[in-house]
Amino acid sequence: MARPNSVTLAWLILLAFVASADAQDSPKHAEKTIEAKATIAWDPAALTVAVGDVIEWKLGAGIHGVRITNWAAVKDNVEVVNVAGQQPFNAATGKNDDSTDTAGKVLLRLKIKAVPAAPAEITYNCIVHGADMKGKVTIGRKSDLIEMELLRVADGFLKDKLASAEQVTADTAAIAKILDTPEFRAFIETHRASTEIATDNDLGKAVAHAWERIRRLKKQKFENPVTFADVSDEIKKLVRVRFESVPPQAEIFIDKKSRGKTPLILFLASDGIYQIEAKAEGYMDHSDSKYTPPLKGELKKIKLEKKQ
Amino acid sequence: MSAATVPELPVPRKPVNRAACNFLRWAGAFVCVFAALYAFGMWLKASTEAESFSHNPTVSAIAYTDPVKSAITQKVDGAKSVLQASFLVFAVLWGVILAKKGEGKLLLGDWPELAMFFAANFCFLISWTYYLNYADSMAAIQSQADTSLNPDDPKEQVIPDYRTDIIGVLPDRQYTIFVLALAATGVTLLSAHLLKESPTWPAPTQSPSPG
Repeated sequence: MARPNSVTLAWLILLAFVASADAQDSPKHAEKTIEAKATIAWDPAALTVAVGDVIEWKLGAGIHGVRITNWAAVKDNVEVVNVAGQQPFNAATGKNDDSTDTAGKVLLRLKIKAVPAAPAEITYNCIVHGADMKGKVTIGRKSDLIEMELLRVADGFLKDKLASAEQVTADTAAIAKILDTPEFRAFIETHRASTEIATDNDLGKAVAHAWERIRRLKKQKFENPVTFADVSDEIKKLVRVRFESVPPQAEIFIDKKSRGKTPLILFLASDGIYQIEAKAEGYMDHSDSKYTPPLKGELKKIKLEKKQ
Repeated sequence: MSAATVPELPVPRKPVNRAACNFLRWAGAFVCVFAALYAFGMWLKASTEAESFSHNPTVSAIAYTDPVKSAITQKVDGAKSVLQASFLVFAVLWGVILAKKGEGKLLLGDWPELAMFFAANFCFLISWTYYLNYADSMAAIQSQADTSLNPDDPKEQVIPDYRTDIIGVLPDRQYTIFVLALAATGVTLLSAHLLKESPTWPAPTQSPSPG
């Protein structure tokens, strides 16, 4: 048997442990570019990014400048990164004061620091061409983005496999069966590079839900897995919501799980989308399927209607 | 008349039962590696829990009163004490290798000792990771201290419940893994010591052969 003997070897292996631990916890951040084209369009006009990503607007051809149209709503959630030689960007007004015709010139670089309030978007247009040349960047959490990407890919895959959209929503077990195949895995792998993400697609949501369940069951991990280091980041996003109801002592369910009776204070993620239900004996159930708490938290009052 | 003093004869060393020692060293190595794998498993489990937590987290609120503040301080101090103790034991482990002549060569020259040594180091690293995550999470929790939006008591402050599973379990795991690291360190040093004290110990150990 070989005889390993040196303190150097010990240090190297120790360092390898440290490096692997670090690699597990380091979030991967992407750089994405939006190019202004001569055809009076942004390429891509719709983009989805995660917190930590950097977006760069640059001139491809033509005469353009960029204006963030909802700057007031997003400026606290982004960081303007200045690059040498770029077109000056006015951080007070959220736009390039002047247009440029120098191909390849950077118009703006933004780093996403946090998810802005719903609808969590950066909308922009051209200072020369206005609304004729507009675009949108959707910001989401990493886990949401993975889910949405899966959703989009699974959606395309299933179109050929299922007879109708109704079949998808009605029978998640059937979808699970289809998705849990090597063919689908191969399909996912080939489409993973794509960044365009479909939104608000019920068919896709059902598919993603099924896939997510399989993924969790099998403990499979795709790119950008959430790691333990992300927990404290999640905690920082929590905001307090005080639930009160008329009548009092209504039971509050968050995502189908009972959390207690009113008056009740809970901490929820400011970028989460929760399904909230309130139930009380003798009263109609109250339900809100897309609740996102405001950044400063709130006193949420729920009034239940008496049953007839 | 003086009594003649008879010089005491040196007591012969007991012969080393090599087979038994060899078996014990390998058993120690297996136990240490098992401890390291257990620690690693816990760490992976924490990642899975974190992923599930990050999907629409819901945490109960507790009042941020003086007793709660001192309870938090006490919890963090406890975790810090375990961290300091782990630094001490870690320093002893490395100190023995670096300071004692020949010990390092012995320790790193044999597979069982090498496995024990790295298992102990690995457990220490995982234990520290738990402390860092706990400290970071507790800081994040306390930074959330804000009014409860209670119209009856607008000054009342609340924080996310720091005893929530994903956070509350951290110091316990840190302590458990520290104990594993401590055990692995003890076994490693004992084994290296036995190895050093055995003058007739053969140069590289053979793994126990099945026949």
